[in-house]
Amino acid sequence: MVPVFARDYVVVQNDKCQFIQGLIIGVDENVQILMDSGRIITLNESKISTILTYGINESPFSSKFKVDKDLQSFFRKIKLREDDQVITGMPFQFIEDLVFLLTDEGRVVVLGASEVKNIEALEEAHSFDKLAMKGIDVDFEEKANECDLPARKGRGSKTAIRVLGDNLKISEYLNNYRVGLRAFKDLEERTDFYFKPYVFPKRNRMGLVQITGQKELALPFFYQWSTGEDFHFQSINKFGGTISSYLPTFEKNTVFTSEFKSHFFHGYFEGNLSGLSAGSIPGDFSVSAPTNSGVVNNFNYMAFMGGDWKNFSFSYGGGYFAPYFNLKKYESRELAANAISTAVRLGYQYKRFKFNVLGYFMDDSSSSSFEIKDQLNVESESGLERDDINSFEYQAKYYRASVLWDILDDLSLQADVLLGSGEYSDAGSTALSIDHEMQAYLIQLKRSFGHYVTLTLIMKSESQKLSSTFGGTDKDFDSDNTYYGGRFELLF
Amino acid sequence: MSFFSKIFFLVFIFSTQAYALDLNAIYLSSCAREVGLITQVNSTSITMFNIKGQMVKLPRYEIVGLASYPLDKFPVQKMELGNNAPAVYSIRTLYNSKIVDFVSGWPIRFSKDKVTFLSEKGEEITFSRSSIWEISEQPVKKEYRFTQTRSKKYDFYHPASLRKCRKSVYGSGKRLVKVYPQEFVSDPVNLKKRFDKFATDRKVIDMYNRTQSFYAVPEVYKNQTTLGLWTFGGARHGASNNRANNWTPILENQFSSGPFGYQHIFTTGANTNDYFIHEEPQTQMYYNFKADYFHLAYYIDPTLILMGKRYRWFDDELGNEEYRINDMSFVELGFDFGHLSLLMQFSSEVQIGYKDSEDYFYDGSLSIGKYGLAYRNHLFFGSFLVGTALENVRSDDFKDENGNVIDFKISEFNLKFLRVNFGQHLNDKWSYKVSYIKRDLTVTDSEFNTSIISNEMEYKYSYKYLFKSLISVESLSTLDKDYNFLKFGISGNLVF
Repeated sequence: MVPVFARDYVVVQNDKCQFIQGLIIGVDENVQILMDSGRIITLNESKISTILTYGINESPFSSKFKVDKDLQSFFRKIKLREDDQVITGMPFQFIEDLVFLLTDEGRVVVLGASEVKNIEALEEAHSFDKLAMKGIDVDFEEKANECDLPARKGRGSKTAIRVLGDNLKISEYLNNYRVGLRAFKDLEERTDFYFKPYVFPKRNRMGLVQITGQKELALPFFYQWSTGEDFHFQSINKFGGTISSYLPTFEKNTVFTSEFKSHFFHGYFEGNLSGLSAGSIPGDFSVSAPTNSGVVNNFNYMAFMGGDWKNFSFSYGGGYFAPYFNLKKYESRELAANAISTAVRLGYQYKRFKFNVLGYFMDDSSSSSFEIKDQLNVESESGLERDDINSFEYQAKYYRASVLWDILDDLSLQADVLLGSGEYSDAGSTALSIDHEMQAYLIQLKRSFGHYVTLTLIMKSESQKLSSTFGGTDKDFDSDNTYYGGRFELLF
Repeated sequence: MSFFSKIFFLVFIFSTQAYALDLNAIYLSSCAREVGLITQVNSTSITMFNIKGQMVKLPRYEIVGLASYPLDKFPVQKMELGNNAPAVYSIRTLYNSKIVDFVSGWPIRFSKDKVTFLSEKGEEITFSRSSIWEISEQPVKKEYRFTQTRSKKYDFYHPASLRKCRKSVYGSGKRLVKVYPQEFVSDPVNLKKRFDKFATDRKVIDMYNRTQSFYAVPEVYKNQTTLGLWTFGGARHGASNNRANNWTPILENQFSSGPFGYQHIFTTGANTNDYFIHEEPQTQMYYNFKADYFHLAYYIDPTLILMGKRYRWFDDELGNEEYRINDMSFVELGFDFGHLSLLMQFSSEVQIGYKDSEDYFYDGSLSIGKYGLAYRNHLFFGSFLVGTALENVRSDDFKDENGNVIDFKISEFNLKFLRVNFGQHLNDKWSYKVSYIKRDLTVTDSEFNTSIISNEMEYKYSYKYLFKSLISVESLSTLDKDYNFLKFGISGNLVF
C-alpha cells in the first residue's frame, strides 16, 4: 500500500520568499491554501518554489475563529445512502477511490463513492461551532535556501517529511490533489444525474416467462447481465424471450435489449431477433399472428436516448414497428415498417416508486423503393393476394404507463397500462380499411425466495375493438381476453 | 460498520502518529529481527535495505513475523549494497512537452494507480503510474549516500506478543525517537500473501521495462469515457437517405490497464475514423486493442444490420456520372515496435454506388486490402494507408413490370486508395489532425480522381468538455468535369 498520511500540512514558499502554511484545499490552475488564520490564499502553481509537507496527527483546528463565506464554499453537505445520514465536510485528501473529508466538527471521515447518495453545496450560512484553525508549529530547518526563514512560533516540534523543491515534484504532488478534487467534483455532479449509485439490477439472471394465449417462442429463456460501476458507465443487457418494459406491446418476443447510463445520458436499444433489419417482417421467432381479433405491434427494433436529472428522466427516440392486424377468419395484414416511428418517454423515481410514461406515434405507408410483396403479408378469406394490393397506409398512437413499487426488499408490484388507437387502409383490387382501439393491462407481482430465486405472477388483460370496411362491407370485431402466466428467475 | 463506529474507527486511526514511510521489521526467530525497507521478494528470499545501511537477504521460510513502523524518513545516511542487489530503475516523465528525468531508485510500495520509490538520495517519492513515460535499468553502485537524513536514535518497540524481547536502539544522535509498531502479522498465510503481493507488484515494474519497446507512448488510450454528438453538413459518403451521421451519439470508452500494458478503445455512434476511406463521420462500432507488440482493430457499421436492404446506395441519391463510397466493415491488425506500427487491413469491405453517363446505376461492395505504417511519439502521430480493389459490379437498373431484370451491365471497378494522417497536440487544450485522401476509381472507360483534404481541430475546455470541428474539401475530377465539395461539421463531447 502507498503510505497514507493522516493529513498533509504544508508550508509553501513562493517566488518572493514568502512562507504560507496551512492545508491545501483546492488545486486547479491555482492552489488554494487554508492558512492558520482561517484565510484562504490563492497561489499560481508557477509561483511556488518549494513545498514542505508535514504529517500531522493532531487536528489543526481549535475553537477560535469564525468560518467565512470563502471557506464555507469548500464545504459540502453529503447525504449517505445508509440511514440518510448527513455529513458536512470539506474534501482534503484522496487515496485511490476514497475521499477524506474534514467535517465541520473537526473530524476526519473517509467515504467511498458507493456510500454517497447526494452531495450539495452549503447554500445557507452555516455555523461551524467546533471548527477553527489553531495552526501547527512546524520546523523550517529542512528548507535551506537563500530565503530568510520565518520565525518559529514555538519549538518547531514538527519536521518536514518531504521537501519538494523542483517543479516536477511539485507538479506531481499537486496533481494528486487536482485529480482527487476533480473526482470529487465529478461525483458531486453525478449525484444529480444518478437516482442511486447503480440504477440497474446488479445481479445476473436467467429466466423463463410463460403466459397463456401466446405461441411459444423458439427461445423461451432469457439471460440478463449488467456491467459498470457506481456513478459511472453502467448497462443492463438481456437476450432471449421476454416481455418488454418499453415497447407498445405486452407480448413476449425473442429480443436483444441493451440499456445503458453514463453521466446524464442514457440510451436503450431493443432489437427483435426474428427480424432485426428495418423493413423486414419478423419471422417465426416472433409473436406471429394474434390469437384473437386484434392488433399486435410487432417490431424490428426500437432505440431511444435521453437525459436524467435527479428524480426525472426523459428519452426521445423511435423504432420500426410492424403491426399485425387480425380480423379473425376474415382478413389479416402483417406490415413491414418503412418509416421510423417516434417514441418519447418520461420517467420519475421516488423512494420505492418508479413511474414511466411512454408515447409512440406511428405514421407509415408503403414505399415505392420496394415491391409491395416485400412489405406486406396477406391472408384473406376472399382469396386476395399480396400482389393485388398497390399501397397501404397506417397511422396510430399508443401510450404506455407503468408504475413499479418495491413494497419490500423481496416483494415488488408492477402495473402497466397500454392504450392505443389507429387507422389502416390499403388500396388495390379490393380496399380494406380498419379503425382500431385497444386497452391492455399488465400486472406483475414479484417475490424473491432466498438469495437465488424470484417468482413473478403475471396477469394480462386486453380489450380490442376493430371496425373494418372490406369491399364495401362493414364489420366490427371486439375481443376481451385475460391471460395468466409467470416468470421464474435464477439469480447468480 | 455503522456510520458512528466508522467515525470512531477513523478518529482512532488519525489520532495516531502519521508519517510518510512504513519501515518493516522482519522477525526470523522469536526476537531476531531486521528493520528496514523491503526492496525485493522472490520465492525463497527477501531483500531488505536495513537501517544499519546494509543490504540483507532473508530466507522466506525462516520468517515468523512482520511488523510495520511508520517513520517520517528512511533514517540511513549511507547504504552499502552487495552482490545481486535489486535493480535501480530510472523513471522519465513528460513535463512541459519534454521527456525529462524524474526519479532513480528502487520501487518499495505499490497501489493500483501509484508507485513509491526510494530514490538514490534516500527520498521516498510517490507518483502516479501514468507519469511513467520511460523506464530504464541503471547500473547498481556499491554504495549510495542518502542526503535527506538527520541523526536520531530510534527505538522500535517490539509488538505486544514479543514484548519480552530485548530493546534495541538504532542510529546515533542525542534525540531518542520511540516508534511503536502499527501492525504485526505472524500468521503464515497472511505473511505469504503479503510477500507474494510485493513480488507480483514488483514484477509489474520489471514488465514496464520489458514491454516499453512495443509502446510508442505508454498509454495510447486512457481510462476515460467520452460522450458526444456530431453535426455535419455536406456529407457525401458517411450518410445516405437511410443512414444518418448527424445527432447520432458517440460513446467512446477507452481503457488502459496501466502504462505499457493492455489497452483498448470501443466506439459506438457516428464518428470519424483514421482508417476510413473517407473523412466524414459515419456510424460505427469500432474496437481496437493493443497488447505488447500486437494490435487489432475491428470495425462494422451497425446500420448494415439495422437497415438491412435499406443500407445500400439508391439510384435517386446520385447524380449523373458520380459515385459514393463508404466503409462497411474491416479488420485491421498489425505489429508495433518502438514508435512504429505496421498496419494491415486484410479484410475491408466498402460499399459503392455509381451512376454512369448513361444513367445505369450500380450498387455493390468492393473488397479492398489496405496496408500502411504509423508513427507516434509524445508530440505527434502520423500514418499512411494504401490499398487497391478490383472487382466486377453489376447494374440491375432496368426491370420489367414484374421486377425481372431485362437489361443489366457488368463493369470492372478499379479503385486505388491512399490516406495520410498527421496529428499533433499543440498544448493541453488544442490539438489538430490533418488528413489527405486520394481515391482513383476507374469504371470501364470512366475515371474519377478524388482528392480530399481535411482538418480536424480539437479544443478541450476544462477537463471535461471537448469540442471538435472538421472542415474538408473534396475535389472530384472526371474526364470532362471537375467538382469541389466543401464539408463542415462540429462536435461537442463530455469527457468522464
